[in-house]
Amino acid sequence: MSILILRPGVLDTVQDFGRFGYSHWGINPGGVMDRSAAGIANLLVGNSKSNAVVEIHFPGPQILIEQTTLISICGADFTAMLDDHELPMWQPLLVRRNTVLHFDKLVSGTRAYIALHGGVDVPHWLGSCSTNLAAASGGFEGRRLEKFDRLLQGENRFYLSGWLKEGDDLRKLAWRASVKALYDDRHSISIVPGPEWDLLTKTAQEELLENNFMIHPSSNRMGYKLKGPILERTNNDELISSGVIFGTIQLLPNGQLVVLMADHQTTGGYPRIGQVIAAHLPKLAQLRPSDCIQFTRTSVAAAEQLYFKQQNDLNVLEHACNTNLKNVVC
Amino acid sequence: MTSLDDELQPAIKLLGESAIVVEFGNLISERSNTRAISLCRRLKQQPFHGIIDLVLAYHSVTVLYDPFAIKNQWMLETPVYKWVKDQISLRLAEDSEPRSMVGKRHRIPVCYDECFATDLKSLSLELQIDSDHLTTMHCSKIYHVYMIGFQPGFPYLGDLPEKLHCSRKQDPIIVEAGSVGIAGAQTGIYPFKSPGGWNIIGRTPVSMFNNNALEPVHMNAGDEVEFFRISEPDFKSWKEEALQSSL
Repeated sequence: MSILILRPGVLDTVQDFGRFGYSHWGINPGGVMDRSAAGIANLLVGNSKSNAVVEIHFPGPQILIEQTTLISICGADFTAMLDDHELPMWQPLLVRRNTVLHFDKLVSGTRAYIALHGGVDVPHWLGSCSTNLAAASGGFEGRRLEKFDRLLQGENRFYLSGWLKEGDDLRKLAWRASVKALYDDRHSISIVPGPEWDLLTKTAQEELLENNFMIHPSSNRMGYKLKGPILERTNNDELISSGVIFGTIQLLPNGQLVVLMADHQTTGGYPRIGQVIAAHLPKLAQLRPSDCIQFTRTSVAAAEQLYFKQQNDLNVLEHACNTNLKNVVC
Repeated sequence: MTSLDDELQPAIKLLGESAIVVEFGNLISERSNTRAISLCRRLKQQPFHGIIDLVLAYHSVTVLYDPFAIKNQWMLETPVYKWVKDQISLRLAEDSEPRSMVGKRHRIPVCYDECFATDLKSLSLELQIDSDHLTTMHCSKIYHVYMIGFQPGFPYLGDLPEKLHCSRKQDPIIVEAGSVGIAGAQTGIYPFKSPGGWNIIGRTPVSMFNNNALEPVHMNAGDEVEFFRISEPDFKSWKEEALQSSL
């Protein structure tokens, strides 16, 4: 049970939901950038949502499917192809061995997730399969995927070859995840004030909520630099480095903002003026350099409610996927 | 009776719906750091369901939690953050007289020779202390480990003798793994080859991060570090020995 990288994409890594519990050693959680997409990709193929997946960017990789298996592709739309057939996204797909998965054209989004039935099987490091590039540890040999890397898969729970008609290379199972609500109004990102919100002048607070901020081309898995109006501080006292998390918005000395993403450091010394709510991190993860962000202020209680709704929806999807998979017949 | 000084009164601040920051005062000191370490230890010993990580820094602890898990565990009707705040306050109340626990003492060999100490010359000019004296001062103290951060295994050590306090470099440059740097009142060790803005005054052959080890980082906040000088040949044989033992 394996897939083989024939040609790597620009940045393909093995990720799960992150490595938590080791921040006291400076080891950051990392993990997938878009948890919703990665989670749904897993659920569609019968995995638990936090299983290890392959996170890809555009241009994407070319992958040889070495055994007949069940896959799904979620997140960014890179026009996934199996040999000459265009593949639907957000749907479980049975693919025959010796076919080639590749990605033709960037349509939307920034990161796509390839889930394999049984999950990507790499050794756990400190309880997680996520690749920590800075520490060259975890995931597949602590690095991005390269030509002829072979990724093993977890165990098959179904007799998948029996699900494919003779002569067919592909079977699209008859259900899809509906994700419209997840990425709705994609430039609008809700935030709550951070611990140092009051370090912004009243004018700066208004400017933050009234203006568009453009994602800088140098943005990556560590953070998004934003270009917008220069935000003024009430004083320039130096802060003591303190904890930061995925989605923390920091004010840089030049008055510009940076939003910390999955590969952020564990601590930071810049003012944490805001925090992107958890429910909007997937949207943010799919924005691209030169896209604009409009921040909207919300309350922590409202942020909780939105997050709970998303998690409940995922639980419903999980149940539906498992029931459907059990009922598949050839 | 409360022995807690007012200046170390904890402030609890929300960082979104999934994290809460507890800060003790607004100074870098061993006392505020001890409070943070003590709270961190207590939260590890008596965790509540849903805690997923603790970020320990100079004077603060950031508690990461999963609000959905907590809500489901306790069938909460109120916002989860209020419940989490209460849990943290409870543990803070139990922790009002933290004992400072003696950590491990690490003896770290450093070669201060010119080939490794890329910023020693310029720093010696800036501080007007000759190089030998400067490095002797650097290894004359036992340092407190405030926190591990920036990179996996990077220890923030302090405080430097006052005469060695210096500013960071304007533009970070690539430094080698094991580089020993100083900046502000702090000294630290780079575990990886990476961009760095601290002034490099030597290099240790000891690796600060080993992903094969059960504990990939052998230092913890609250430990003590003492540097001692080694020669360049010693540095090389130390490296070779480390290589041998890892084979």
